[in-house]
Amino acid sequence: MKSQPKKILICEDHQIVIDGLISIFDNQNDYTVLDYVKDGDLVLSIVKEKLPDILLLDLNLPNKNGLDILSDIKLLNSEIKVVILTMYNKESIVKKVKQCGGDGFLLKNCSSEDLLKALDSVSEKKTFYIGKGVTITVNETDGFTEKIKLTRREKEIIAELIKGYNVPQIAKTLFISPHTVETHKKNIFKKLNIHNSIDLITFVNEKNLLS
Amino acid sequence: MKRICFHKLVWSLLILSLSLFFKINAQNVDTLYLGSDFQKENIRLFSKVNGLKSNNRSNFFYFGFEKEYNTVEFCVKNTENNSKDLVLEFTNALIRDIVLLKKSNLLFQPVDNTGIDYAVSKRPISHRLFAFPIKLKPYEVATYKIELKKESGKPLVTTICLKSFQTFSKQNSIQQTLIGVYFGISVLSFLFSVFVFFILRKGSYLIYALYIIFLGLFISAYTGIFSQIFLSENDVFDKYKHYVLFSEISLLLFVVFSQKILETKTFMPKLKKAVDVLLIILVSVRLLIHFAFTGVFEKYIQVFMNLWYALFIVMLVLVVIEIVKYFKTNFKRTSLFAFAYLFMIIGVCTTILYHSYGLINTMIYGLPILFYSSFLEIIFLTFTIIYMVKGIYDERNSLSEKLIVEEKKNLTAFIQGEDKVRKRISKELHDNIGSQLGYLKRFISEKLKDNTINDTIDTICNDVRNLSHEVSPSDLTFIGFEHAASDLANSLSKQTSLTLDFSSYNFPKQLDENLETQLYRVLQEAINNIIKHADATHINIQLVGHEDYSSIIIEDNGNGFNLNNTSLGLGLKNMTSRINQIGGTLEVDSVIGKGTSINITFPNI
Repeated sequence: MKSQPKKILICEDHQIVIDGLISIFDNQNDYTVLDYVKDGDLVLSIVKEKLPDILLLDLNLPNKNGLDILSDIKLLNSEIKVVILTMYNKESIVKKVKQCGGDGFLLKNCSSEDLLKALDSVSEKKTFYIGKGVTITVNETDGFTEKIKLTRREKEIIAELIKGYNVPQIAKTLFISPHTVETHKKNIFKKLNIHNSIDLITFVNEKNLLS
Repeated sequence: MKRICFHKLVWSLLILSLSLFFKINAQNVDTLYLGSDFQKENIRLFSKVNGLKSNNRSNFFYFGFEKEYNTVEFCVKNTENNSKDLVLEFTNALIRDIVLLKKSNLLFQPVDNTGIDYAVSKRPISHRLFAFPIKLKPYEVATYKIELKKESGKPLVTTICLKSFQTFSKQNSIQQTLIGVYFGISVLSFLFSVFVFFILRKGSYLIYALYIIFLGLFISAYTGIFSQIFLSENDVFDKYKHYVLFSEISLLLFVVFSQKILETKTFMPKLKKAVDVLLIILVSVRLLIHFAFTGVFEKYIQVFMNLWYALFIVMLVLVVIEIVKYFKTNFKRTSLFAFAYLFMIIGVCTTILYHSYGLINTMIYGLPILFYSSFLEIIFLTFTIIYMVKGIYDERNSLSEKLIVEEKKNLTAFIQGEDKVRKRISKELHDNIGSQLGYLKRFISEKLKDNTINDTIDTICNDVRNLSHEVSPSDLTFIGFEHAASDLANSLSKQTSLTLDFSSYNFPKQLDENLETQLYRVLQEAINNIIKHADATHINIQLVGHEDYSSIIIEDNGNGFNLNNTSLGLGLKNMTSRINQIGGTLEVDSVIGKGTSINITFPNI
């Protein structure tokens, strides 16, 4: 494997970064830089033309964002490894990159060693490489979207609703506007997937929601 | 000669107004006739007697007198076997002195006297017009004579009516109602225009209020109410002088007011000047004639009055020209005013024709046409005023609406400008400075292999990244609002002692970029406000997506604040403006000591 250096395509719009990267790869034999692209729109056609092994991809490119490019390349050829090199350091972005089929995630202020380690890792293994300093928690699930959790205010409103009070009355007792109560009520119904107050009473009794 | 049967009247009376042409038969005694000693030249016959109508319950005839002293003799007979109460009524306010005499033993004995030269208490019956009670025994035939002194220098036309007491009282109650309605409307119009004057501070409304007062005084002087109400019982009153004074003042006010309504000052200054000059001449001449040079003008007063009327008509015509011209400028206002003006002309002209030339009978229910016409005039003028006020308010409303729209536009422009700058700074920080720092770090680490420098650069990189994000959240494009909000909540939870509960349910993954930016900025601003002002320990952020709209609710358990507090007002206005820009609504509920809740709803796009 080491006989033939891996071909790298740099997708980056800042010349200084490109120059820095090229200088890193100049000093070793495992990797060689094919070319660099500054325009997001041109990446795909150049990939098709030059057939690189690894793509160093910035998320912020003119005309087309990195995530879209990533998805397109993985669709075109999932064998091409894509390592994201960005300033963004956010858990949700890392997740997104992973979802889109990215192979690694590096920060732009990573060291040369980290960069080379990442490239080694992605070309040999199938696991996702996370660079030094990248924020990531162990919890992998998108917990907050699926689990139904009622807020304190919502519980208050449910308690009033099952007592049989209407929206203006609740608004008066809780010192909030009727419009806000209405929003809360609709939110509760949406979350519990119910359509009227009778459903709500049944639901509350069944699940013992308020205790 | 005709016989007339009245409904409940037993009295049958016939007027022999044409008695100068027909010989009076003295044997038909249920008649009213003029005495044979009545001088032909003293009476001016000008209209057919209309007491012949069966529904007319009174007999009346007109006199036109040229000379200062006049006498009329007439006969009445009771054809029934019971005594009757009758009233003899004079419908002219300008009689100076009337004496009623009754013939007994071939001599005329005075029964009663009245007139404008007398005190109120001297009047024989409580009524606005001059009236004498006449009592007749069963089958009595009585001969009466009236001696009449008229206002000097003016031709006098008067109507003399003989009515049963019942008819007299009935008519009196209708009159009272009409007069009540008239003055009721006048008082309402007066109050309205004074109110409008105090609000709008425009002189024309005050002029109108004064005009209503003086017109009311004029009408009350003319119908005799003035002396009843305003003068004490013992006062000797000169109704005629009041009548002239009030009529001239109301004429003055009316013309001045009409000039204001028609905006002649701006649209037809020449016409206005002509009208003004004529007005001054008319008013001063009339007042001088009646108050200062009574003696001098007495002889030629007829000539003077004719001249005065001619000038008056010229002025009326000039005002008509103004009205016609003003139609183009303001059609609705002018039409209302034109009606009022028409009624004024009708009233004034009939009055002049009646008093000075004796041409028309102007009484309806015992009240002159002038009364009715001025009533309609006031109604139309008040409508004109109401229309003017409405116009002014409509204009003000549309202006303030425009102002609000303009303010909103400005705020939107301000926010958009700010966003643009923020975006540029953020991009600069993020892309340029961040990238160069990264390069710098690799460059230095290769040369120096110094970890502290590396760490410092990493810290700077982090700071730049955070700063860039705070200035403008460019990563929204990649991750969407939901994730960005969740990240914000997580990072704040870690950085501060606050507990941030973030929950999202069914929130749309993909929203319009501008919408997401605005939402994020509002969320940032809301959280910043809570951290800065609320002194809260807990923040709850909840996103819920519905079919075609979504809601964001941000609640805290902090101090709460007074929504009228201006220092927080600008931030709220900013937030509201951002939300309004994306077609949503933002509502803030705050209870002191209990916390604040911000409720945002917006359409999914």
